[in-house]
Amino acid sequence: MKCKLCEDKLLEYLYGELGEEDAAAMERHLEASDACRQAYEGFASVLETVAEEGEEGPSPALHTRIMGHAEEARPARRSLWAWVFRPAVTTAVIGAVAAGVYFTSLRHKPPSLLNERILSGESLVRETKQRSTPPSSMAKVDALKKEAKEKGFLTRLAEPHPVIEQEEVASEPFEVAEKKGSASDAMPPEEDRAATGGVEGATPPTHETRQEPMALSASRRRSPAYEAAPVPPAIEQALELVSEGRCAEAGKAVEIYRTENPEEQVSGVGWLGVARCHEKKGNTRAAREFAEKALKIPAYKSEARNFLDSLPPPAE
Amino acid sequence: MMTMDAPALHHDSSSGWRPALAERSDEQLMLAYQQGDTRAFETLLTRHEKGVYGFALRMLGDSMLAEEVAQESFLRVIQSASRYRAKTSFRHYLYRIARNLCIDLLRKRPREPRTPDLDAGSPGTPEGIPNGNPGPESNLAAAQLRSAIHRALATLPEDQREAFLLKEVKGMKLQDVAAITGANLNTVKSRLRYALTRLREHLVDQGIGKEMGS
Repeated sequence: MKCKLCEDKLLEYLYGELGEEDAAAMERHLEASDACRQAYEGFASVLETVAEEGEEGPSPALHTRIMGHAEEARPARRSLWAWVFRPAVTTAVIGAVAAGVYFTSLRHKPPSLLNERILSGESLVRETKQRSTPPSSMAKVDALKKEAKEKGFLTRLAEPHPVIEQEEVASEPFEVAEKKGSASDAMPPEEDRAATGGVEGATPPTHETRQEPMALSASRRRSPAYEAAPVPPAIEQALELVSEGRCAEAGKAVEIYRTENPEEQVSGVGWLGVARCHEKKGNTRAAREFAEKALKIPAYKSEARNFLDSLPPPAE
Repeated sequence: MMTMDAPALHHDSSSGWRPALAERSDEQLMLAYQQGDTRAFETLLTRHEKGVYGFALRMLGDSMLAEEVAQESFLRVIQSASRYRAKTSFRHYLYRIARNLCIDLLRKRPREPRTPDLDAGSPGTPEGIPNGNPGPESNLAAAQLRSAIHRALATLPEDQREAFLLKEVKGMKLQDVAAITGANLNTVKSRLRYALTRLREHLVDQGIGKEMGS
């Protein structure tokens, strides 16, 4: 199409989309230009022919089918309930309720017979710690923390203890890591996390983090076997007494635990802690005495031997 | 942004709210359906089913496929009703779906143009397309015309054919065609000019329509 006006406006004119003024101008142009008029008439004849064909409609069944779907999938009126039952909100509410129920069940789980036995061993320790007993909320937090650790420990008791049985290899870091992994495999998720995260990880994440006494942390760091196994509350208490320099009380606490749990090798941690406590206070004789107790426990034999070797030779 | 001023509602005891629904814009009807009003959707369907079906029929040349396209287009509207926002024209939205479905079907099947049941628009055909013609002679003439038009349409390139057929939908403006096809207005005009020129030539070749100067 050579004519610029027709190139721009002929189709709008053909389809009746031009304003009055433009339409009038186009009519004048078409009267004046034969080529443009012929083009216009050619286009118009096509539209006429197509219009003659008429529009075909679909079968009535199509309407019925579509309306059936529309009724079926009719969107519900939006209301507060519609908002409340949206999938995202529902999922969040169910998740929150499930988490609440889970944590409540953790807190109110009745202690097992073995639990009671272990807890009874710390009665004396509890008495000695009364002055430093935290307020009730903290006490609850501590109870939860201990329970989590205890559960992990009891789970481990049910399984053969690879760390204890192979203490010779435990000094190699790679092997230690492997043992920690294998031990945690036997635990339920929470205990698993506690065990693989070491003792620090046994603290439930919702609890306040408490600054641990340096001596206690140091004693934990020294024993790879200890890191692999959660510590029962009685021994934990004993180690806290150690950190406070109350070596005699700590010794008593470990002794009680050992008496009630003669088969539990974890008392070796307690013995070594008490030994270090005495060493720090310059009581080498007592330190040696407790280290020798630890020496009798296979899992702590090598550590106790190293400790004894580090002590000055006994006076003749 | 579309203007959404609702006309005044008036209740007619014989026909309920239908007169009011018929006065509403497509977007208002769609929003009403979003709120659960199926009568609003039915008004929309009645308003557009013939146009969508006719567009698909001329694009594809097959009444069965055209019904499938029309059905699928409205089903997609139904499925996405809860997410519908009246920011764009409902008509653009609906015809864009139909156009894309047609293009998909055209690309899936062999390239040869088909003019199958376009000859078979008379009553008694399996498709049973209503044509509104009274007698057999009229039916024959209408069928011949229909066939000639569809043969001519089938020779058009896809983009020219869709531009021409969309513009043939009642009430569709050049700007609407541009919006639905995603082309600019000048491109649409150019496609239409080519389409009209070619259709005229084909129709004249078939002895339909007046021969005009080039």
